[in-house]
Amino acid sequence: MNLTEPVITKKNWLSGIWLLPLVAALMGGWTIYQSMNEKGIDISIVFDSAEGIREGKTPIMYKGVRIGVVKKVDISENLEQVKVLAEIQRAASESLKETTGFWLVTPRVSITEITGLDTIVSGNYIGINPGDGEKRRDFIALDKPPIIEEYKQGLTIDILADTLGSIARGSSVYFRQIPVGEVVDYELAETQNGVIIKVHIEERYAHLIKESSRFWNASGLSVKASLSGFSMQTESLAALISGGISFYTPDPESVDTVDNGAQFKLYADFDSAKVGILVKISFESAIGLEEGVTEVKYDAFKIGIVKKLSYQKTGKSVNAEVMFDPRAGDLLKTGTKFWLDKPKLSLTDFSGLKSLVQGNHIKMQVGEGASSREFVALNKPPLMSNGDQGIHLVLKADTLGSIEYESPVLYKKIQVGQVHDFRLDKKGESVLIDIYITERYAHLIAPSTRFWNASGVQVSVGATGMDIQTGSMSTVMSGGIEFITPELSTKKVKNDSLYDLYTNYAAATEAGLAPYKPAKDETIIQISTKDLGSLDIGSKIYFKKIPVGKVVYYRLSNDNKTIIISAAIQNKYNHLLSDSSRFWRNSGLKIKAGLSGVDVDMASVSALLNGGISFAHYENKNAVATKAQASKVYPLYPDEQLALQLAEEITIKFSLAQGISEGTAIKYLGIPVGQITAVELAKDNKSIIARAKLMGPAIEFARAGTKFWLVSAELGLFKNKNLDTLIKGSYLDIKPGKGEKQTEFIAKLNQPDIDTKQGLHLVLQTPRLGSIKVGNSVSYRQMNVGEVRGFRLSKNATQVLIDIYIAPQYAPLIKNNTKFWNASGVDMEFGLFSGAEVRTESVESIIVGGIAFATPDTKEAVVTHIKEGQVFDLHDDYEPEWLAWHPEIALVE
Amino acid sequence: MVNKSYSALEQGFLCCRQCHKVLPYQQQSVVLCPRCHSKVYPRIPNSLSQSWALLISGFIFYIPANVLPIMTLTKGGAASTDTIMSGIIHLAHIGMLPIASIVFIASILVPALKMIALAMILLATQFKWSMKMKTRTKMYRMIEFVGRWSMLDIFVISILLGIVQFGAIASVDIEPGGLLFAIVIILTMLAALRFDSRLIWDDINEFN
Repeated sequence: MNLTEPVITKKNWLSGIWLLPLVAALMGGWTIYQSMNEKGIDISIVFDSAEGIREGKTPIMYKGVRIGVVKKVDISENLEQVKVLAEIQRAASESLKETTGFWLVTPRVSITEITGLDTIVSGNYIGINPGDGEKRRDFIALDKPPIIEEYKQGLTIDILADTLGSIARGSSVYFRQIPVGEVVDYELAETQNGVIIKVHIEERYAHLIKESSRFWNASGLSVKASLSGFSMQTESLAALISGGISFYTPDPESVDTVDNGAQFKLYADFDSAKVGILVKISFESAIGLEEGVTEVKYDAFKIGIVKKLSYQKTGKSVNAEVMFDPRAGDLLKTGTKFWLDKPKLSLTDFSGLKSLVQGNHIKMQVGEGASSREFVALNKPPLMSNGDQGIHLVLKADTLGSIEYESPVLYKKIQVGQVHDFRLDKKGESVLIDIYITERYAHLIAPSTRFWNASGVQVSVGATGMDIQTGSMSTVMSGGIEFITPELSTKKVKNDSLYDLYTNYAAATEAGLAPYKPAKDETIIQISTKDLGSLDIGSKIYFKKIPVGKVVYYRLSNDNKTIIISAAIQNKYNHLLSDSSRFWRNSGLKIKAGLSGVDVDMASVSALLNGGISFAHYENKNAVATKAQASKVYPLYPDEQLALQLAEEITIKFSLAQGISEGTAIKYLGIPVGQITAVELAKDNKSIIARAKLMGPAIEFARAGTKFWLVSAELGLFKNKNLDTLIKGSYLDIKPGKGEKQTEFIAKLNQPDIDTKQGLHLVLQTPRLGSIKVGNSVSYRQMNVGEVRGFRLSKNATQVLIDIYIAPQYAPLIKNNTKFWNASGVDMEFGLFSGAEVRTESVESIIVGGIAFATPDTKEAVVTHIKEGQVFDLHDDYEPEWLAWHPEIALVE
Repeated sequence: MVNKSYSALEQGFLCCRQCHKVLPYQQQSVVLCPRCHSKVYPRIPNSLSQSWALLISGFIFYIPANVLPIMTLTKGGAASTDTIMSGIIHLAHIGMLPIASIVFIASILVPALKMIALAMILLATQFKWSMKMKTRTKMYRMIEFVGRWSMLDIFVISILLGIVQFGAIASVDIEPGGLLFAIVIILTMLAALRFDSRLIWDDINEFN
């Protein structure tokens, strides 16, 4: 083997690999040094409660960055507090100074703000606010977040308040109801006579705060109540709930800006902040004005409030100092008018109702001119509108009546103008009423125009009761002045023309007014009535509830006994009229309430408001319907049934009217066939006459022999008869007769005996009546088969005779040897071994008494017929064997 | 034991560590295997020295790897930074003793024992201790076998790191300890690899 000698190199005593441990040592040492270096600084923070703080978890955050963590939570030595040991990163060690503050951040949700929401997920954390001064390692936690960094932007001011009210940390500060800042803190003033509220205003709004700014508490609902109304004021909803502060700066242009820490006073409310424009308004009297309550409204907006009332030196007027909303400055011109708006009791004037609820207020109408701060109030509202070129008229009347400011002037029930003033004439003899007709309707006024007072209700009280007459419901509601113009003229009436105001329509028309002129497509018919009732011009004429015409005119007949109503029927409905047409009154709403129920009868809603007349064709077999003649005067019937002879009017004479009233029904076999329409005393004052209507087929009952009697409830413990009458009221029952036609009847007090021919009447004799009463039941095998009809003494007064009645189908139960006994009361037997045994008839008979009977089952004793009125003995008690009888008896079907 | 054992080297043979081809021993430090072209040494050069260097490096890193936090788990916004040991204690505290013991064995006990065992083998080989060669070999095999399991922690952390990233709700971040720990495991594995186990048996005739 010839081997080449290898080159042998000397081995390095230290391999390069040994650099590795060196590197490792360096790296390891460096990392350890690093981590030792990074190890935080241990501090302790004392909290009142460690709620939400977890060892090793709860971080310490500064501006959202984690700079430390809680290591341990301990109870403090005195067991009253909690000592939290925490580790703060070395990098943040500079923050741990004398005034450094720590506090616990927990989620906080309130109506105005939601903060710390992140803590819901991440858990609570401890906030830190770096401070200055010496190094410090032991801290006492704050119980609330301090005013921290973010507030250094913007403006922080102090507001001194008497009490905190509902202002809380986070409450907003509003400027014109826009939140511009918030309450960041509050504390007792050093003098302890108030609260210092620290407010932070956002930077971009900071310029709004001037030295002259006034702050007021905008918290909650501020209500001031007095007899003349409420003063209510609130800021936004958030302020309503959480409280807040509002401020106003009178002169935003001023240069007196404020610095941080400026002090302001917090006024209790808007009023006491005295922001706004002070205006003097003089009134004739102070009635209706109240300091601090009466408001000035401009088109429903409150823009001012009366601050102070004072008498002028002359004593002739009252000066009201009104604080206006600063924004109202532009409205206060020399031409601006003010007047006191008083509540008006009127159903149609809504604003009046409002002031009734809210109290008086001052209204204003903005005018032209230079800016002004002193005004004289009008004693009445000014005219409706400024630019309207209507006409002013003067009406002369004897009395003012119920006309007042702003009463409407109506034409065909449409408001065309209004009353704007009234005064006495120079002599004081009559009232002059200034009215104003708007431009749009000014052409309706002509020299021939007649005005009358359409206000109010005419009431006449007499022996028959109270009679209330009104034109229609709408007139009652709106009142005012109405006019008609028989002849329109193209000539314009001059302003301030004088007209007479008639007291009512009749007076106006009697003063020479021409009767109604029909339009081309109308036919005039005449209807006579004794009483106008609720009918009025304009009342509708209905055919099957469709309006086909209207009342256009009415007058007294020549003999002054009836009223002739002229009605215009539209020609297209003319064919509905015939000689046999019958008219009746739709007197608006007819409500009858009584024991017989509530009965509402109405034609239609418009008829309800205006009244009206209905008509229909009456089918008379004897007469052939002919075309209506123009001269025909139709009678007006009180109601439909009488008009169409669907009813027959009768009178029933009662000796006693108890339970009879208007509306009491007349029933035949339980079905209503008529009713009583009126109840009155007979002329001899000894009886009562009921007027009644028989309707439909019951007209046939108006014959001689017909009997009427009153059915009313009979109450007993177990025996109640005609109970329905308790609810529906008593009614008259009728038993038709077959005689001649007759309309006057005399009522019977009790039901005529109609059972006489049926059933079985027996007489029981007994020495004592016991608890037997009329109406007690007669029972067989505890089943009711009859009743006690009456009792009397026997002729020699030795016995009581009891009349009983057995229903016809049970009559066969009675035999000659039937035993009757008094089943009243309870039969009790007490035995030593058997205990108590109670035997009785039905529960009813325990209490009200009763008669029971039994019939023996002896066949030979059967007697085929029991005579009417046969006398049986009534035993005091039964023999036990009687109860064992059980004969087979065929009952009558 | 009368018979003297002869190692392959003493009998003039080499064995390729890769393909196990037997080659004649020649006085050259580096021989290439004619079959697989890998280097064939009679013994890994500087085996002990390299092993020692790697092992000592491992030891050095082992300390900060255990002292420094290995990962940070942020759960519900609350971050908790754990070292290996504090993680094990935490697991044990919440009642997961089996898992705690697995992690303890895999992450603390095994690396530590492995390094100690390797150190003992190295010492015994270097200073010709009278430790039984069979024991040494068994220990060495064990070290090789369990070495890979020590990466368990690193695997878990890498998987968590990839999956658990839900911001404030839950997230996992690796800390320096994790890296150091991985280095420790890699160094010990390399140390074991650089140790030529045949060295154990070279002294067989001196003791037996």
